[in-house]
Formats: sequence, C-alpha cells, structure tokens
Amino acid sequence: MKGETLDVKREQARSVCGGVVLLSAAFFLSISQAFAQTTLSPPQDLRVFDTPSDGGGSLTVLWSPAPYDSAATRYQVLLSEGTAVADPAAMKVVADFPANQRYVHESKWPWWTRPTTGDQHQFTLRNGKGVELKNGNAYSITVAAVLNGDRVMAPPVQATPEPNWINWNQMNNLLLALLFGGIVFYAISTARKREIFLRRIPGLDAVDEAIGRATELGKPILYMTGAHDMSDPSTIAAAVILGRVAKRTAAYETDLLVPHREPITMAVCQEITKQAYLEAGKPDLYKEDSNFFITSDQFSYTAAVDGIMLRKKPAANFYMGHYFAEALLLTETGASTGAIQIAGTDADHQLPFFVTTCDYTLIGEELYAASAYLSREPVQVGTLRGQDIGKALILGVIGVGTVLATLGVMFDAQWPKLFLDFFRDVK
Amino acid sequence: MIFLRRQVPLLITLITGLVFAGQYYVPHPASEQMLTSVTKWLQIIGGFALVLGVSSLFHVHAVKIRRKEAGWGYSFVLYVGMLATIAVGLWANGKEAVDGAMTAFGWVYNFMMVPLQSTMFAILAFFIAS
Repeated sequence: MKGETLDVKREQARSVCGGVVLLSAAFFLSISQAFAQTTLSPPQDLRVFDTPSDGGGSLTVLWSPAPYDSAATRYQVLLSEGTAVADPAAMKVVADFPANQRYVHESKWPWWTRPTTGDQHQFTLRNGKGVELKNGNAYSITVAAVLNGDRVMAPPVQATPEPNWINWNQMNNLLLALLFGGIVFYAISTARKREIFLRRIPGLDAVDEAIGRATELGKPILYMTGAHDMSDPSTIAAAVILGRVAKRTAAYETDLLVPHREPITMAVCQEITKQAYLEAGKPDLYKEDSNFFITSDQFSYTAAVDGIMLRKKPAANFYMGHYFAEALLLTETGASTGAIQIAGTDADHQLPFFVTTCDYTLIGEELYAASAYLSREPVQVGTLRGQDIGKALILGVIGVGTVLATLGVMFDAQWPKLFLDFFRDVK
Repeated sequence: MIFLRRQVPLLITLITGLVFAGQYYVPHPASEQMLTSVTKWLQIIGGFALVLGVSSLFHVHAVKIRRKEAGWGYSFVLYVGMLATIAVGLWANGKEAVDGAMTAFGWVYNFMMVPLQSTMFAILAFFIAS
C-alpha cells in the first residue's frame, strides 16, 4: 500500500516537472519571437545624395527596408548643417512617418532615372516647412527607427545640394518631340515629291462662294478671330485663314471688316491683311482700319459686332477661333441678317450652337487643317500629314494600352503592368 | 535692307524658339531666372499693346466724328467717357480704394462699369430672345 502511494507521488511529481518544462519552453519561445519582431536595428544601407535633375535645394535619402517595417514603427529623417556631428541625437527631426511608407516605387521618378530598386525606402528633403537647404552647403543626414519610445539611428551621411543643368526625367518628352519632328520633316519631303490627298472640307470650299456672293451684293465681309490671344493655336489658325480670305477679298475688291478684342491680335492681323493685299497686287485697296479694336469686354464686344451686323448687313460672316457664350449671340444675329455664315472652332462646348446657326462649320482639327487645305503648299500639307501620323501613333498606343489593361484584369496577370508602366513613364 | 526686314526677324524667332524649347529641359536656377525675366518682358510688351488698341479705337471714332457719320454722337460719348476714366484713374493712382475709402476711380468702376456690363448682357439676352 505504502509502495503504491510512493509510485503515485513520483508520477505526480514527474507530470508537474514536465508541465513546468513545457510552459517554460512555450514562454521562452513566445518571448524570443516577440523579441525578433520588435527588436530595432539601425536603418541599413543609408545613402544621401543631391536630388538629380532638379534646380537645387533638395537632397534624396535612400535606405533598405527592415523586418520591423510596419504602421506601428516610425522612421524619422534628421538633418544638421555641416559635416561634423557631435551628437546625432541632437539633430533636427525634419520628417516623421510610419515605417511602411515612402518607397521608391511610389515616387514620380521614371524607370530610367530611378537610383535603386522600387522596394527601397526613399525620402526627398526640399526647401520649405522648416527645412532650408542652400546649394553648395554640406549637410549631415540620418534616419532613425522609432518604436515604443526606443530610437535607433544610422550613422549620419553627408551630402551637398546642387542645381543641375539637365532634367533627365523629361528626356522622354525630348525624344518624342524629336520623333514627331522627324515624322513631320519626312512628310514634308514626301509632299514635295508627290501630291498628298486631303479629304474635302465643305466649309472651306464655301469660302470662295461666300466672298463671291458678298462681291455680287456689294456688301462687306465680316471676319472674327475669336476670344483668345495670339498664343492660342486656334487664334493663330484664324489669323492664317484671314490671310487667305483677305487675298480673295482684295482680288474681288470687296470690303473686309475685322473687329478685334485683343490689341496684339489686331496688330498681327493688320500685317497679315496688308501682306495679302500686296500679294493680290492691290495694295492701294488696303485700309488700315479694316482691322479695328472694339473692347476686351466680352459682351460689349458682342453688342458692338451685333450692331455692325445690323447696320452694315455683311453678306458673309466668318467666325474662326475660340468662342464662349457670345457664340450664339453673334451667330443668331448674323443668321437674322441673311448672311452666309462659316464658323471654325475648337471650342467643343460652342460647336452645337455654330452647327445649328451657321451654314458651314469647321470642327476642331479642321480649323487647323484649313490653312494647308486652302494653300496646298507642300510644307503645310506635309506638316498636316506628319501631325496626323503622330496622332495615329498616340491613338494606337492608347488602344494597345487599353487592351493590355483589360487583359491584366481579366486574367489577373502582372505582365501587362510592365508595359503599362512603360507607357506611363514614356508619355 | 531685305536682310534686316526678313532674315533678322526669322533668325531671332528661330533662336528664341530653340532657346525656350531647350529651357524646358534645364532646371538650373539661371534658366528659371531667364524665363521669369522674359515673362516680365512679355507683360510689359502686353501693356504697350493696349496703346495699340486704344489708338485704333480713337482713330475709328475720330473718323466717324469728322465725317459726321450716323451715330457720331455715340463716338463723342465714347471719347468723353474714355478720357474721363483715364483722368480719374490717374488722379486716383489706379487705386479703387485708399484706407477703406472708395476713390473716384473705384466709384466709376463699381457704379458705372459693372452696371453697364450687366446691362449690356441683359440687353443682348433680351435682343436674342425677342
């Protein structure tokens, strides 16, 4: 009986010891895991250099990702002036953010200027918000990892911000400009060798008809160049078409009225009209005040032009260029006087009004093509063809990109993203 | 002479075009400074362009008054209005208010220009709708 009792006690003691050992093992395992997860080490591979392709006053900081990168951990970027740092802890904190943010792949660098792989951390220090970086001055920078009040930092690294002479991030733009320029020159040389087909544009064919009608009726022609100034392509196109119209009016000896709302446009159009009359061999018919300034105020200009339409009853009205709310006010009045009306605009929001109230409307690109269409000069026709090829290339890339993006979503594939990123960076 | 009238302007246009196309790719402060200076020059030239517009306006209406064309009285009103506004603007040093008090120029702008512009739009809308 006594022997049995001793065996039971021995068994109980063995079980208790086993339990204690197991509990201890579990405890140490969990502690070691927690220790492995939260142990801070200084950020590795810290690099600091002048931000490339910028105007200076900026430094870029790169460092490797760490096992403790999470929303709970934070990174601090510290800065001090000069190369000697007595106490890194006393450096000024200029940025503080969660450790799972600020990666190279999130930056705006295109792939050809990225200084390292996309998984590296990256922070760009710029002038402003408590940071002042002077070009040519050396600075010490370090990065610290912070968790639960503990902070460990990498050894400070020195760098000097400098302005750069070339922005390599925009080289895609230069390459595309050269490519499209080359296409335009090639198209011009082709246009010099053989005739390039241009589809019929009824609105431009009607220009002669409108001028002829005005001549027959002995009434003037009213020509408007739009609301924008000479820096706008639609105004430039309108001024070029004015040259063609003025040449015909000079040949037919018809009066031309060109009211303006922008003085520089008026001065340019005066020269264009004068040159057109010279080319037509009728310089004596040119009137200095055929181009005249009214006002830069939108509705005062509209009221004045409406008044001219009602008083002088022009036989043909040309509305070329960009228009806003005055479009319908002008064309309705013109229609009420019975004039032939030809409009040409790239203002898509005014197109419906022009289409409904004018006899002919040049829509968008047709306005830019008008000069080449009317002159048939090889340089202009070739330029038009070159631009069309460029637009076709862009449309092709958009089409390919759309198909790739759709395939990527349909098959949950990553490979289309490589091409899409390429297109995004090159664009 | 033809060289000065044709080639030189073309040469200036070509060089300026190339320089400012290149400027887009140069981030250096010197390049930015050049762009800023040219932009200021453009604003100054734009100011002078207003002289062109005003002189054209004066010329057209002077001819109307001289020939006593129909409605020449309106041209006279335009002359009076424009000269009076210029005089008042110069007197007020181009400021609409000084120390919170409205100047004569501010009064002309707020109580003549703005209501006239609104009236013009209202009349146009009525004209089209009628």
